[in-house]
Amino acid sequence: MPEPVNDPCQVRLERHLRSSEFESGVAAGLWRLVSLDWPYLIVTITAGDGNELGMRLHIDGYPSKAPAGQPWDIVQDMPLPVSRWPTGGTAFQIFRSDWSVQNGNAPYMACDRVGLGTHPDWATQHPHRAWNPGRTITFYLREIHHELRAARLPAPTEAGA
Amino acid sequence: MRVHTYAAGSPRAVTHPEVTPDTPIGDLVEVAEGEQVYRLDDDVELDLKQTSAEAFGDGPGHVVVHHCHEVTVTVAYAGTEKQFTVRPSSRIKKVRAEAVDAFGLDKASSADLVLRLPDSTEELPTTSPIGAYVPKGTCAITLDLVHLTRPQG
Repeated sequence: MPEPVNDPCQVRLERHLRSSEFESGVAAGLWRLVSLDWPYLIVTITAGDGNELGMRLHIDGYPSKAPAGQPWDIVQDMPLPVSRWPTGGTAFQIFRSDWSVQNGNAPYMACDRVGLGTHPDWATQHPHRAWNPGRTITFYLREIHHELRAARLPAPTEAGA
Repeated sequence: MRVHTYAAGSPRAVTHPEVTPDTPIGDLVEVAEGEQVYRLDDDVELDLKQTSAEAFGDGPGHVVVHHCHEVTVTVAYAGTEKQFTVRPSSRIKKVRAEAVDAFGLDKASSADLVLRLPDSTEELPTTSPIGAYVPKGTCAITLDLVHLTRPQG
């Protein structure tokens, strides 16, 4: 028998994972749920070349706190090497070797906990792109998906992995 | 299984959380005279006698109830306007792609473009049907195609 879920943050997240917004994105092939092992959520987000970027999100305090994400190798269950991060389009401005690597591999975005935490002015300067407690997990996925529209993912062999 | 239903002019879907596979689609939606029922992102009308399992298989279902057969979309971008038609069941994702094509933009330069309602700062969710933003009484909508501002520095 599964253990009852007591954490209200987890209850909220699971409700949002059953929402029309999230499931419509799954049906459209934009993203998919890989696993939820509270407080970590693993998802994939589809890039412009049709390949999927795995991401692990730390989601404690959801939705008061923004998700804290990083690219993730969903096969090896470990951080995705920088050589396999998405390239092309605007991806390099988000997954930055000169910033993300020093900040837990976080995307340089106002929807992410680390990006927002290190740039508190983003919440007021870019409210339409910033996380706030009224957002849901689908907002985060949509924001990442925007930046991957014209991106491609290096194959493991191509990246020297 | 879950079935999400969208109505004209109602961006927020209604979710039926526990639908049995043998439930007819007609039991899940209220359809007024002159309205049609579509599967999300599908041009073909759904048969209301069809069961949820027949319509959607095992996965969650998405149904759009709308009074329009077609929606005329006027999109403004960089001082000009283009017009085209889509089905009310079309996702915003498809409408955006049509708009990008209409303005002759390439993939790279259009990657950060989103659709917004005029005077709004929030983008329309790419996964929602356009019909959810077209209220009863009209089959037309005007949208702005705008570049997202990316936080820097």
